[in-house]
Amino acid sequence: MAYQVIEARGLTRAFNGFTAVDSVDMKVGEGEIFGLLGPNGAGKTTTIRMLACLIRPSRGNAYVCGIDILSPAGAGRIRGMVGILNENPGFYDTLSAYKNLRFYADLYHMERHKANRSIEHYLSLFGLWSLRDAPIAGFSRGMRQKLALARCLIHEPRLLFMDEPTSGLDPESARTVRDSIRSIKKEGRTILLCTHNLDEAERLCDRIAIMNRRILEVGPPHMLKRSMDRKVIIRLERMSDRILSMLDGMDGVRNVEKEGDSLVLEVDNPESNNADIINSIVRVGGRIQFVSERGQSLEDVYLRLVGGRHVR
Amino acid sequence: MSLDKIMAIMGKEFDEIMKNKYILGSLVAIPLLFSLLLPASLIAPVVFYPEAYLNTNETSFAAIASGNGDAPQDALILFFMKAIIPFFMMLPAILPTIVASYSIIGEKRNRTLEPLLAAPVSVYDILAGKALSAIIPALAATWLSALLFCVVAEAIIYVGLRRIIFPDVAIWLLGMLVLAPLLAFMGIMIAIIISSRVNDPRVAQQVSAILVVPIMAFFVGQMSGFLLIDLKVMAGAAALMVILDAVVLVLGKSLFDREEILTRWR
Repeated sequence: MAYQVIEARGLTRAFNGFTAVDSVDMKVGEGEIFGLLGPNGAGKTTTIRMLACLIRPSRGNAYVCGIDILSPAGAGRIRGMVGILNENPGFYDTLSAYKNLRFYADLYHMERHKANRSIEHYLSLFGLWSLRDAPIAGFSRGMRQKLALARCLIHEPRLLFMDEPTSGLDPESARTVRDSIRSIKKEGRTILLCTHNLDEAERLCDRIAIMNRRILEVGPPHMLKRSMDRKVIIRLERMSDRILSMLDGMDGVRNVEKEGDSLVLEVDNPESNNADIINSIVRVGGRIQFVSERGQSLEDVYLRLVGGRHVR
Repeated sequence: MSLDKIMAIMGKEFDEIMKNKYILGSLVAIPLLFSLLLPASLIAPVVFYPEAYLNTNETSFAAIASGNGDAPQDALILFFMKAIIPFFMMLPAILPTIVASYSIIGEKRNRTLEPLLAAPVSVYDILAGKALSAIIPALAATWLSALLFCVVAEAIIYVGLRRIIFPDVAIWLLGMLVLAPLLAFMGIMIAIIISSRVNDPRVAQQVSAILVVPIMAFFVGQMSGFLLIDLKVMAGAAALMVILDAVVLVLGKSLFDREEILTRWR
């Protein structure tokens, strides 16, 4: 079994009686990009803050890099092993990019030569080395985001928490950040990525948890898309009412729609039901040209879960 | 607590102070003003126009002038040199609040509190780094200002009287080395507590300025003869400040929590 970098059990956080995160169970393996997908106020940031030992859970517990987040001594160790990229990264605007990073390197107790090498490496990687002595006040949103990424990487953390890393970025900067996330994964680091950008989550994440204060569904993107409302498309040589009436009410078939000479079926379990459906169509004289699956988009899954099972 | 991390925070704070013209200006201008204006307005008149005080019907001045065996003019000069001490106690109370309010509110405005708190650094390291980076320049400015005041005052006395009249060194040392740091600590704590709740450094400074009122009461007390500054009074004030500092430390302690800072300091 892969080493679990994050293991949360019943993680709950309430603020003045309002439950922001409710009984979150989660396991994130080493080297995995795990997405937390949810609307604003779904508790993604609060979950990150609990896992990074910035706030305490009201109930439940979690282990990050094998360390108990509730242990006071462990909290400091966890903070030293993780990096956090906030949605709106702040910097000391009057100071230069180099001085900002140097300050954080000192807080992470990095040796001088190692810190300097790391700062140079990441500033160069994000194309900011030539601007190292410029005050951050003049940096664009994209440059600040790249610098924030450099800041959360300079101490070589094992686990990265990224909260909306491409939010508000132009397409080119967003792409740079996404490419960086992929290279970080290649280095074997684990990433917990909070986003409400479905396309980004699908492209980057190995697994996604859709949450709205509690985890509604977890799985790899392709499995999530297959987890509900899978539709089977059967193209017939010729449509007939006999086929339609036979399918209507058949076990395992939840809905039948006609689209020209094609049938669009909502089936409980296509893997076990499809053979019976096809046999039945053939028995009533139907001639099948193609059978295919119409997958749900992640957006469909997300909206269905978040809209349909809104936690109150 | 980690000395390295406190030093790192102080280094960053000093870098920021050097870039902030308002803070730098305040650290230089206010002490300079005190060093030059106070001798000119309070010492020079006694040196050059002593009759204005010696011939007055004001009983306290007459009593002081004939009080302790010194020549009447010397007694008055010594009196004013003690009366001026509360002004130099204002500096350590005011200057750190300016630095600290910009520092704490600057963190909130720049949204740097979360990355700072996410680093493996204790809240006490952060607060110690910030407090020291406010106290050190404030005390340095106070001490330099007091030294400059003494030089200017002695120069005025020498020009007018062709001799030197030393101030009461014990009282000045007690004020500068004991009372001033205690007041600076109080100023910092009040600035941090207020800065945690407001988003404008000027508001924090205005509220912190309340600290000046009891200090000025010392000056008024001295001038009116109601509370003459001597070693006992200064030692009593220092003891009172120790108690008050402990009280604000206890009051502020609940604010110095990572979660409290992250979720409530807005």
